[in-house]
Amino acid sequence: MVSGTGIRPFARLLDKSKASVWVISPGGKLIYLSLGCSQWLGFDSALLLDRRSVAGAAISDEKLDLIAAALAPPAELMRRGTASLKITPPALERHRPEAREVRFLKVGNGNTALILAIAGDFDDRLPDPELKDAVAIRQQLDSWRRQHAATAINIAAGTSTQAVRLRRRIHVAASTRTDVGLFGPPGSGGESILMRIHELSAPGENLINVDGPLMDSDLLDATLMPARHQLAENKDARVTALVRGLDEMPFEAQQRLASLLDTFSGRLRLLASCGAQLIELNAPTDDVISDSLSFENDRASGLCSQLIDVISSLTIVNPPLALRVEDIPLIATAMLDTRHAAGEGPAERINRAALDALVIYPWPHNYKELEDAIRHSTRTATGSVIACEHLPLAIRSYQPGSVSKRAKQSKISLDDAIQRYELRLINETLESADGNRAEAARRLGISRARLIRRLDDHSPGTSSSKEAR
Amino acid sequence: MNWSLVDPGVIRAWLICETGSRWLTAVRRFGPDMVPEELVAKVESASRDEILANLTFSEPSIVLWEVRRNSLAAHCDSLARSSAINPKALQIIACHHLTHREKACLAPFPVAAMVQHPEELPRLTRMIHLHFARWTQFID
Repeated sequence: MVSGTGIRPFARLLDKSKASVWVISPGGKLIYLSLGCSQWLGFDSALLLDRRSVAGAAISDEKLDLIAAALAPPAELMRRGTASLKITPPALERHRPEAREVRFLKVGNGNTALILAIAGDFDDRLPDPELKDAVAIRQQLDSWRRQHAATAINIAAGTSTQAVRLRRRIHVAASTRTDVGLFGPPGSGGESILMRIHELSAPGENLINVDGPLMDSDLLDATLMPARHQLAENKDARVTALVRGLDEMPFEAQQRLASLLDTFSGRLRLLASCGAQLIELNAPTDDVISDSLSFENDRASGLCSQLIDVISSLTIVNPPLALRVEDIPLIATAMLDTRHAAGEGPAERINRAALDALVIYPWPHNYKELEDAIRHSTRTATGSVIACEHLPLAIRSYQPGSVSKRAKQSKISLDDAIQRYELRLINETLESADGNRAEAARRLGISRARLIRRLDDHSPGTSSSKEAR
Repeated sequence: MNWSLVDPGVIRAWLICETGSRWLTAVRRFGPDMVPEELVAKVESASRDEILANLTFSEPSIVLWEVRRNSLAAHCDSLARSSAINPKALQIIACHHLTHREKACLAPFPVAAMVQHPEELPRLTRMIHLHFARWTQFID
C-alpha cells in the first residue's frame, strides 16, 4: 500500500478542511496523516508515516515513535469496531499539542481492516438530556421500590411530603391488624390501598367486600351473613369487612355495622374508604349534648359516631393528585412500568413533553384518571416512548384556564370596577375629542355638568377617589 | 381578563422570558395558586427587553428566565440588570439542560430559585408568599 497516494482527491479535501485525520494500516503503521495533523502536532506529520501506532506495542525511545504510539487506538477497537479516546500527543519541540477527542473506526474485516481516526470536538459522549431525565426518574423509582418492597403501591410513589406521609401510614396499617379509615377524593385508589393493607396485615384472612352506598341494614346483614356464621361458629375465626364509601352508607346500615363490629369486637375488622372530607376525629365531644342534636351532627359528618370511634384507630389521608404535582412523573412511570411488566405494549418510558402535559393537567378524577391515561397511552404508543400524541385528547389538549376563571373574585369590588371603567371611558372620549369636554359629554350621551362632576369625583385628592382606591 | 376591573394594587406581574411556551403554560397552571389570597397574578410572556422595561415600574413582581446553554452569558447580564432596576423583582431560573458548572455560573447573580421542570414550581409557593409579604403593605 502506498502512503497517501491512493485517495488523493479525498486527501486533498481533508487537507483543505484542516481536520486532523489519520489512517493506520492493518499492520499497525501510520499510512496517512492529513495536513490538519501537522498543525495539531506542530511539525510535519509526514515524519510519522510508516511508524508503528499500536497500543501497548514495544517502541524505541525516539520521540517520533512515541508520538506515533500516542495516536494508536485503544485495544477494544478491534472487538467493538469503534472507539473513543482523548489523546494528548507528546511534544516534539516547544509546541505542546492540545488534548483532543478522537473517534476511531475499524474499516473492513480481519487482516485487511484499516483504522480510521478523526480528532475534533464531539459531544456525542454526553448523554441526551432527555434520556438523563428518564434515567433519573427510573433511579428514583427503583430506589423507592427497594425501600418499600412490601408496600410499593404505585400511587404512594413520590418524594412530596404528602407521599411520605401516605407511605408511613400505609406502612403502619400494613404491620398491624387494626380498623382503618381511608379518606380520599373519588378516584383516589382507596380500595387498592386497603386491599394491599389487608394482604399484608392479615394474609389469608377472609375478606368481604361491602358497597356502602347500596346497603341498607337488611342487605348488610345478608352480605355479612357468611362472616357472622364463621365468627359465631369458630371463636378463633377472623374476618375483615372492606367497605367502599362508608360515609355514603345509609345511617341505619352504619349503625347496624357498628353493632356487628361491637358484637365481634376485634375479630371483625373494618377497612373503610370514605370521601375527601376528613372527620375531625380529635374534636372534643360534648357529653351534655342531647341525643337528637348529636344525631344531626353525625348526619352532617356522614358517619355515625360509633363508626368514627372505630376508624379512629388508624386513619389514612390520601390527598388528591392535583396536590401531589411533583410526584406525577414518578407515579405515571410506576404505572407504566406495571403495565409494561404485564406485557401491555412496548412503551418503556414517557418523554418529557408528555410528562409536562401530565403535570399541567388538573386531574379532576385523580389517580383513576391517570391510570386510565397511562393505559390509553400504552395501547396507543407503537414504540418504546410515550409521547404527547399518545395521551388522551383531554390531557394533551388541556390549556390552563384563562386567568379570569382563576382570578380570585374577592379581589373585584363591583363599585370600584365600575368607577375605574367609567373613568377610563371618560378619559378615552376626552382624548378622542381633543380635550373638549362639551364634545366628550355629547359623545357619551351625558350632560357637560355630569361629566365634569364625574371627573372631579375621580380626580386625586377627592374623598370619593380615595374610597375608590 | 379585563384587568381594568381589578384593583391595580393587588395585581402582581409574573413575567416569563423563554423560547416556546413550556413555562408560560406551567405558570398559568400553578402561578395563580402560588400568590397570596389577597393578590392576583398577571402572567405574561415577554422578551428580555420588555421585561427590563416593565421592571422600571418598581412593583413587586416575579420574573422567570429560561436559561439555555447558548444564552447563558446574555441571561447573566439580564439578571444583573433587572436586579439593579427593580430589587423587588423575584428572579427564578428555569434551567434548560444546564450542567452543574453552568448552573454555578449563575450563583453570583440574585437568583431566588432554579427549577428544571414544571412540577417543581409549586415548591416555591412559600418563598413567593414571603417575597410578596415583604414588599406588600396595607392590603386588607
